[in-house]
Amino acid sequence: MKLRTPIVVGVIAALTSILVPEARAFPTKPITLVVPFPPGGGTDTVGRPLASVAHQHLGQPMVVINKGGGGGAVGAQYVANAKPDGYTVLHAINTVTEIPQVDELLGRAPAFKKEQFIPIGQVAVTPFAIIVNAESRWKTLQEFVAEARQKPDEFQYASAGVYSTTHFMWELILRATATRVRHMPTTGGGPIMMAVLGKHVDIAHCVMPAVCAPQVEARKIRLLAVTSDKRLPAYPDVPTLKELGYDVTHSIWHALMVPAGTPPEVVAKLRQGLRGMVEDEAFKALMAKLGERIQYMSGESFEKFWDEDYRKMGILLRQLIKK
Amino acid sequence: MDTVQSLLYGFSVGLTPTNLLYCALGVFLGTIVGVLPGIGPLGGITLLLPTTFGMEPVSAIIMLAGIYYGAMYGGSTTSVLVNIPGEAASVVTCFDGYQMARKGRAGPALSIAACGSFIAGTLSVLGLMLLAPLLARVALKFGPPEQFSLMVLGLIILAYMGTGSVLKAMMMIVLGLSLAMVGIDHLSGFARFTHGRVELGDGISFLAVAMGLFGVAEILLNVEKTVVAEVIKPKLSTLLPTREDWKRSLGPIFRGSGVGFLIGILPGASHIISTFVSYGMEKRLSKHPEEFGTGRIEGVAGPESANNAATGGAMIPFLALGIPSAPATATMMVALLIHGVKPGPLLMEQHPEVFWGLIASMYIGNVMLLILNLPLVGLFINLLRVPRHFLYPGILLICFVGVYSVNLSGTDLWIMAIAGVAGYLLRKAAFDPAPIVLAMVLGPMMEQALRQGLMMSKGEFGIFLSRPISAVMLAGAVLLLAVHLVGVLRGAWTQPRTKRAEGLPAEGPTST
Repeated sequence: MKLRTPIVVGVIAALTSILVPEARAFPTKPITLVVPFPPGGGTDTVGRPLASVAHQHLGQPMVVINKGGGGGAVGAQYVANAKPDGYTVLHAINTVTEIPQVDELLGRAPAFKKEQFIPIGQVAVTPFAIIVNAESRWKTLQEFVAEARQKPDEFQYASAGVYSTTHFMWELILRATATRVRHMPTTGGGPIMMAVLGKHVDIAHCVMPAVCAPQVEARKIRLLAVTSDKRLPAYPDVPTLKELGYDVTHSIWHALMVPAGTPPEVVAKLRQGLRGMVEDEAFKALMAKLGERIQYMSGESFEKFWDEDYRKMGILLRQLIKK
Repeated sequence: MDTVQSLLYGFSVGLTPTNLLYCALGVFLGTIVGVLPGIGPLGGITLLLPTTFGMEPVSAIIMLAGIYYGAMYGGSTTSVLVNIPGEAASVVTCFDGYQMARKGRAGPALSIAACGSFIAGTLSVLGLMLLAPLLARVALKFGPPEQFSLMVLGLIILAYMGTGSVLKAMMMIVLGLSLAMVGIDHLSGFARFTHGRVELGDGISFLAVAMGLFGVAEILLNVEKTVVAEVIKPKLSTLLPTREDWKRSLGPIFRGSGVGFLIGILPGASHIISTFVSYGMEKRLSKHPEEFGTGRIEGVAGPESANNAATGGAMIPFLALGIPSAPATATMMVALLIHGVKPGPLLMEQHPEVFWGLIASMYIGNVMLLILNLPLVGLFINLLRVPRHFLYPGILLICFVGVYSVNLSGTDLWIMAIAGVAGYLLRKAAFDPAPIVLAMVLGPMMEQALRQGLMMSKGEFGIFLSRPISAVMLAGAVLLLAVHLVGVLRGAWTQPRTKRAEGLPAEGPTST
């Protein structure tokens, strides 16, 4: 029995190669990982290390392309409409949950739908920090909140785009803090940091710790709070929003997805490959250097998580948009 | 003194055999990427990023930076030889470079581009080394209003420098800006002018339009006149620039270096803007502005130097602030992040081997590029020996394959074909299509900067005038327009009626 298994597998493989040559051969060419944000941002810095170890686990390299814009809509729409052959993979984050529901609530043609994706699995979870320029007069978030309450619409925060996940995070924070702060959408983490350092906005957020850390170290920005549910080990002095009395937690989940209609064998191959990739020592080492937290979830578990996330976010969005 | 010591230390890093090898590899690949239309420095860097993960961080950044500035060397080749820009930063090089080639002077054009690139590249590394922290602070002052005003000024210069009428150039700019609005709006996520076509969600491909307007249209124009079989035969003796060429080019090279370096620091597509600012400046300074567009070597020397110097400038926000201002430097930053080297304001202190090793490698790389590119001129020039009835179908094929390979989109092929026909008609009507392409590149950034600026000011347009840097640039734009208008009016008055000229400076442009 044990001896025969390889033969049986071989025969099946040979047969499938005749019947479905593409599936057996998958992948025969480099796979494109679409990061729906500009290079250098928080999504990009997780996607690239991940792609770097793909070759050993999938047999083909993974090439990262950045399709930024629309708070992640441009890249997601691109993948949703790509050929479902497994060669175009989306590095999805929370925006994939939010954008289609926002489109629906605003009564516009959706850029893409949730059903257009099959999850491959979750890779990591990244929290944010609320930041101000180091020369800013606000030493704590409470100080900012107190002043912003007195001067509604006076100050301005930067997000990664209208109806982007960070826009919603800010709306949640503004509600929780009972403040009115104006919104300046940009296209991602790099431009946001530029706006903070150049004092073009008053307050913003940044991804912990990849984008934040060097600026904190150089005392160019000040951390006022983190958006995770617990304090971060590397920054034990920075309180969470919850501790400050603002009931908001918000983190970015990173998951890979392929267009619906991708053959099940290809999905299985990718899911298996992703498991190998997140457990790859080289990837772990890279993520440790970046200070990112790997939090793997299999495709099946992620599907359940995503359904729940989609439902919860839907309720929230209805409240926010129809306020 | 301190700098000298640090630089020597940098050379000790950059001159190790491994790092020399990676530097050579980087600049070689960069040259190839630059020569091939369709694949730019960003594509090359991105493709090679994963291979750097096993290297030392210094080697990784040395190689990737080599691709970046190396691409600026190669970009001019196809612009000069076949009038197809190797990448967006070489669009301007087509104007005079291709005309020089038609006059049998492709050799000097390419040689001066290589030498200018070398001088500019070296000067910009020098600037990077000495001025980085200071200039990084200036870059931070460029918020959305300043960026918007800079692009307004850039577009006015673009209209002004064109080979024909300013009015026609303005029309082309507006057309380019309009085309740039198609697609999903980057600030609101709304799809605009896509007519429900998903393919247009990402906008009209700038590459497809450029290849159509330049490549396809050029071939259509040439097919017309094949009867006059004027084959450009390059002679080996005419490969190198003459003493006269050098005399005319030195000024543009140094000015182009300065302009390119300074503009390169600013966020966005600064290396592209730098080329047409340089061209506009040379035309303005020249005693024979009317000859620009007919094969003046200054028109090649300036912009080709500017785009190289811009790569040095673009390294400043990245190395001094840890904020990449262009996609190419962003990818380089990732290469460092992955090694645990976090580019930021403390990079120079925490990782001097990375900073100074990179600086030293850029000096070395520029020398390598010069040695690599000058002999290549002799090689590439042979392309002109190929009879046109073989060359043109080949170019057409490269255009189609090149455009298709980027997004694998059939729509892009149609866009290129349509742009080709449009380009043909425009050229027949004496419209220069270059402003369309450049406006398409700047359009999305300009719109974004405008809207962000207005968001900062709660909708007050005054913000563009109340911020000094922005105001100065807008004033420059208005001044240029005024000077032009005065020139036009004077021309209109003096010609039919001789008198009634106004007492304004007699420096109006010669063409209208």
